[in-house]
Amino acid sequence: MDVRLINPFIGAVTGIMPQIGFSNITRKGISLKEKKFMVSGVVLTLGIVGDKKGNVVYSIDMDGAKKIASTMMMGMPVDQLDDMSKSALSELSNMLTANASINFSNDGINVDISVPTMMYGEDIEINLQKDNVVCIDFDVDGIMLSVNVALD
Amino acid sequence: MSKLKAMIVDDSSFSITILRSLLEKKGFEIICEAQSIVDVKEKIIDCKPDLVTMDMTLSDGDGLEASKLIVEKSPNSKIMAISAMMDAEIIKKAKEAGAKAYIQKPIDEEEFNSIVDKLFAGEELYRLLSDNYFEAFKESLMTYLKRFQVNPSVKSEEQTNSHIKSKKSSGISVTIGIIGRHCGRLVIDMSDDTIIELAKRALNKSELAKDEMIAFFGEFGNIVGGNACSMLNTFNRGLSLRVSPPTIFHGKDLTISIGEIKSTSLVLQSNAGEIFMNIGFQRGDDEWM
Repeated sequence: MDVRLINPFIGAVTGIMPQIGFSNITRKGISLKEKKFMVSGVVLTLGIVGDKKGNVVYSIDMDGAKKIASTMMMGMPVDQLDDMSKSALSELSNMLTANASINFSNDGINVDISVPTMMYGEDIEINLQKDNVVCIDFDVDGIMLSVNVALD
Repeated sequence: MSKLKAMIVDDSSFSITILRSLLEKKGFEIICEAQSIVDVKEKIIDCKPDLVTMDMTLSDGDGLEASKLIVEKSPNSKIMAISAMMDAEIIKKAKEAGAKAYIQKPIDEEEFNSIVDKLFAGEELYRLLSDNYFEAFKESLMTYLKRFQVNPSVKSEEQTNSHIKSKKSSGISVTIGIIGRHCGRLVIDMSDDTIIELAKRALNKSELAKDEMIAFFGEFGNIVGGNACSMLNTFNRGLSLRVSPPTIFHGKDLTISIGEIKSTSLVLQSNAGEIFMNIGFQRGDDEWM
C-alpha cells in the first residue's frame, strides 16, 4: 500500500470536516478491499485523472448521511434525504476530493477531479475494476465515513 | 453572436482613450466608463458588463475596493486589473479582490489581446460544450449499440437544470467521471437482463458469468464515454476532456441522484431492453492570467 495515495485523503477528511461543523474526527482503520465490495446508504463517487488515475468512493450509512447534511446546513433537521441534503453531500464529496487533489499537488502529484455522482440504496455492490482498493474508515462525531481509494 | 460588453474604470482620460481603442478593435461594445468608486457604484448595476478593465488607482480610492464592489453587484463580470505597478503583492491583492487577470501599463496590444482571448475562451468552450455534449454522447451510445443489432430507438429525452431528481436503477449502473476544461459525469443504467443480452452478443457466448457481465459493462461505459469525449475534443482541443475508469453499481435497491449539475437524460428502447443514460457538465473555474 502506497501511503502517498492515502495521506492526501486522510488530510482532506481531517482538514475539511472541522470546517463544516464536526469536532471529533478519528481514523478507525485502513484496510484493503477487493475490487468489489458491498455498501448500504449514500455513495458518492468521483473520477480522478492526471499523474494518478482512478476513482474515490465515499460511503456513509443513511442516518449518518442525514446527520452530516443537517450539520452542514447549520443544524436544520433532515428527516428525509431531500434535494438540499443531496446537494450538501454532493458538495462535501467535491470539497474533500478537491482538497485531496491540493494535498497531492503538494507532494508533486498533479491530478484533476470530475463532478461527483451520487447513488443510494441498500446492499449495493460496487465494482471499481482495480485489484486494490484501499478503504479508510473515519469516525466523525459518531458517524462512520468510509473513503475508498482506487488509484494507480 | 451579440457583442461582448465592456466597462472601463480609469481616472485618466488618456488611458480611457487607449483602452477604448483596444477594446473596440477586439469587437467589444463599450457600455460605460467610470473614473471613481462613486461612479462605479452608480453605473455597475445597469451596466452588467462582460469585461471590466480596472485601473488600480482611482481618484477616491483604489481598484481593489472597486473590484470588490463589482464582484458583489455583478458577479459574472470578468475584471482585468491594469496598473503601472506590478509586483507579487499587488497581484495577490487584485486576485483576492476578484480580478481574473493583471496587465501592466503601458499596455502591450498583443499581450492585451491574448489575455482577453483567454478570459473568454472558457466561456466560449462552455457554450460549445453545452450545445454539443448531449448529441455527442447520444451518437456514441447509438453507434456502439448498433454493433449488437438491438435496434435502439429514442423513447425520451429530458433536460434537468436546477432541481434534483432521482431515478430508480433498473439493476446495474456504470458511472464515468469526465475531467477537462469543464468537468462532468456520465451514468448509464439498465437491467441485468439487458446487459447480459448485450454482453452475450458482444462476447458471442450463450452463458455468462457475473464477473464477465460486470467487466463488459465497465468497458461499455468506457467506450461510450471515451468515444463521445474524443468527438467533443475534435470540436475544440481546448476542452481537453478525459475519462476516469468506470465504477459499477449493482443492486436491487439502487437510486441514482441526478440534477446536482445541469444534465440531460436519454431513454432508449431496444430489442435487449431499455437503456438509460444521463450526462452532465459543470462550468469550470476561470484560470488566473
